[in-house]
Amino acid sequence: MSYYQLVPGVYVEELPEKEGKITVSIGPQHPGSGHFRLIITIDGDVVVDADPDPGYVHRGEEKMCETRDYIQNIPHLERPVVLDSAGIQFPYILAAEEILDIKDKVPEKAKYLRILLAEFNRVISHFYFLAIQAIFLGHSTVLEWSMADREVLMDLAAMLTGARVTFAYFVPGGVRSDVPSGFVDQTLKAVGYLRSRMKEYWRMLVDNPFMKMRMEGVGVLKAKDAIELGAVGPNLRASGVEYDIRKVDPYSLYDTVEFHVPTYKEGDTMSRIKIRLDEINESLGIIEQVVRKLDGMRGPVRHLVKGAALRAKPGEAYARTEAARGMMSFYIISDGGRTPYRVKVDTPSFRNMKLIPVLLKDVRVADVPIVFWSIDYWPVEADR
Amino acid sequence: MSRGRIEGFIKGILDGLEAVYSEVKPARLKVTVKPEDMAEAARRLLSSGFDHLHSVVATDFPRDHRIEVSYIVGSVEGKLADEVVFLTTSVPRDSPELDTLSGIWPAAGLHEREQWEMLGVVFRGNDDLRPLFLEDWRDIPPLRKDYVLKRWVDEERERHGLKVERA
Amino acid sequence: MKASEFLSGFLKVVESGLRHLVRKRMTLRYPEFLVVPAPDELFGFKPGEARDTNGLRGRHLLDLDRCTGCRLCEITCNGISGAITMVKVEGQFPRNKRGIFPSIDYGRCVFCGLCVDACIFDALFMTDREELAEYDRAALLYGPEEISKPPKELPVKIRAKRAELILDERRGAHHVQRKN
Ligand code: SF4
Ligand code: SF4
Repeated sequence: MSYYQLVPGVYVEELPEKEGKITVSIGPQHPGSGHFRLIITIDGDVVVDADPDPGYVHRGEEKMCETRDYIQNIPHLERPVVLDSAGIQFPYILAAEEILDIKDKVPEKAKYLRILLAEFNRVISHFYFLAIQAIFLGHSTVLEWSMADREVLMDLAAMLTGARVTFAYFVPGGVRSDVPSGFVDQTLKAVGYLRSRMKEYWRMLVDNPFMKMRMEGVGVLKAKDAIELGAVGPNLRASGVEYDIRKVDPYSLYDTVEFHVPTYKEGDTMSRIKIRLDEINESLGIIEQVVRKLDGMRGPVRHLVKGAALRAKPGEAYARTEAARGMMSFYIISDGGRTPYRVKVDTPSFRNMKLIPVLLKDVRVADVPIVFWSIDYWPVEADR
Repeated sequence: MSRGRIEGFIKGILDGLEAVYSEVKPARLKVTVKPEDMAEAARRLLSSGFDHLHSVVATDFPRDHRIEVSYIVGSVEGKLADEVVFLTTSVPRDSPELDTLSGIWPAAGLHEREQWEMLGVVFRGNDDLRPLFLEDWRDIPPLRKDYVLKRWVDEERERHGLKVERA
Repeated sequence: MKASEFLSGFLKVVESGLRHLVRKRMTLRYPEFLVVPAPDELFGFKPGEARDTNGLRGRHLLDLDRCTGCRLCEITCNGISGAITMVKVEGQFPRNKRGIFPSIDYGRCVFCGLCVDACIFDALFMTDREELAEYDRAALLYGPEEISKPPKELPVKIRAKRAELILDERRGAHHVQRKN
């Protein structure tokens, strides 16, 4: 990297020049998420090359995990993925329970409560995605709608866990609190309300002729490329690959709830929006089923693990789950100590980073924001 | 597939290669091969359906003087979709070098770049080994076990004049 | 795209938008109104039932008579944010001979509530007070005496009335003032 001095003390990075083309650095200030820079090379107004430059929000989560015990790791692991904090907690807790050998002691009610919160978070995260995608499209109506409708579930989550965003709700052995009174009714009402809203979102974003013109056929990802590049989550399914961990490798009690995995063939920006709208609908269905099961279910929600039992035996554990943005996985190695020996967090955004250069190739500069955001790339989650 | 059946299946695929089989909870198969056999084993896994690379993980074991590198692969195909297989090898800690597998699983390129930065494992043939997260890093790779986190924290605090008074 | 398709799609969008003219506003007038979604309970840990009570996780509340100075909360928090430090309090405490109690630095606390889980003596709780803004950092350091008193009422000018969310499919989600 080379720098030149702008004014004393302020250095500007010089980007490599390619003949006849212009190199543009977009970012690192990002209007929709954490900091992230995109270096694109353009010819006229067509992108010929895009190079993601992450790392502005790297926190060293994996190193931090090595100095804290299995409970103390919970709060800081949520921070990179605040919009989907149950999504990152779920695989961590599953892997931690494997390694602490308490997997069989988790009560059934806790397992349902985990599914419930994970689905809440999926909807919350998809609404946020829709909001930012809409504002990148210049569609500020949907920005405001989805930001408001998110609140409905965030309030419910706060009622259950005590916090709106960073829940710290899952613990090895179960979950922390029980269903409060009035929660079931309010959740069922919320599901009905959001269902009625989803039709309007579909009208606004999918049937809207202007949105069709902007997004159909733009930023196409072929199924073969998606698999080869290791894409996960909605982006993979929007290209026609039906791969959802909840279905193919059910964890917790996902095999006892009914849902269907939406897929689309086209793989363009529009289908990546449609798939998220469909997934919200499916999640609302899961929430409804789970809440009905929880209604009147008695029993403990947590198997209390005393301090001494938090010492793991030497071994390795791996858990993968389907978070809002795709497959999230944890690989924990323990050497028998109080803290893990090595923790490898694999976030969907990091995996999807590989897609950015492929998707942005031959896209017009004006379409860069919508194609970039359509994969729901969350820089903080990718950097960890 | 159950643990026994997947082990039989993988043994059939890797026939003729020297491999040690172990378990990652819950019932995932970990296959440890010699570094020079990695490419061959990877090619066989790919052609039998493991087409989705989940991750590349390197772990430092200073006591055994080795760094363990695992490629975690899965499959989006129907029959093997619930499987995850760890393809593992160990490289010496003072000269950690390994041939890249990004020619076999293109997704590996980015994961190898991260592990190169975090643990200093050089993946021969990967031409994308540029700094990813850490800018202008001059210390030893941070996820090595002999890297002391506390020292970094203190140094950074001092650099920014951030000695926060604690009660 | 056919002209008819274009027109019908466009009209539907306009219809959806126009419908919002008769819907109620969802926005909440903060700080005059405030939603406290959790039931009016203190967030606390019940070791017997192995669960937390449902409540919002805000500022802590310490029971000076029950706290034994066992430091379990401090040990837990050290690996989380390092917000808790034990300080000495003058006076006689039959259960706490050394007289040491936790003090909490809200410049560091992340409101995870795991210190409440760690306290097996039923001495530490969390209240639903989340507005803790101060003009300087030192004022965020709460000593044991401070966290042992319930949060002060906010000045009348900014005191919030409790609101609750009504989910009405036809007229839209909106907030109304809560009865009690
Ligand atoms: S709530 Fe969490 S961060 Fe705050 S004092 Fe308690 S343990 Fe520490
Ligand atoms: S608050 Fe609870 S955990 Fe903390 S010192 Fe007092 S008794 Fe111990």
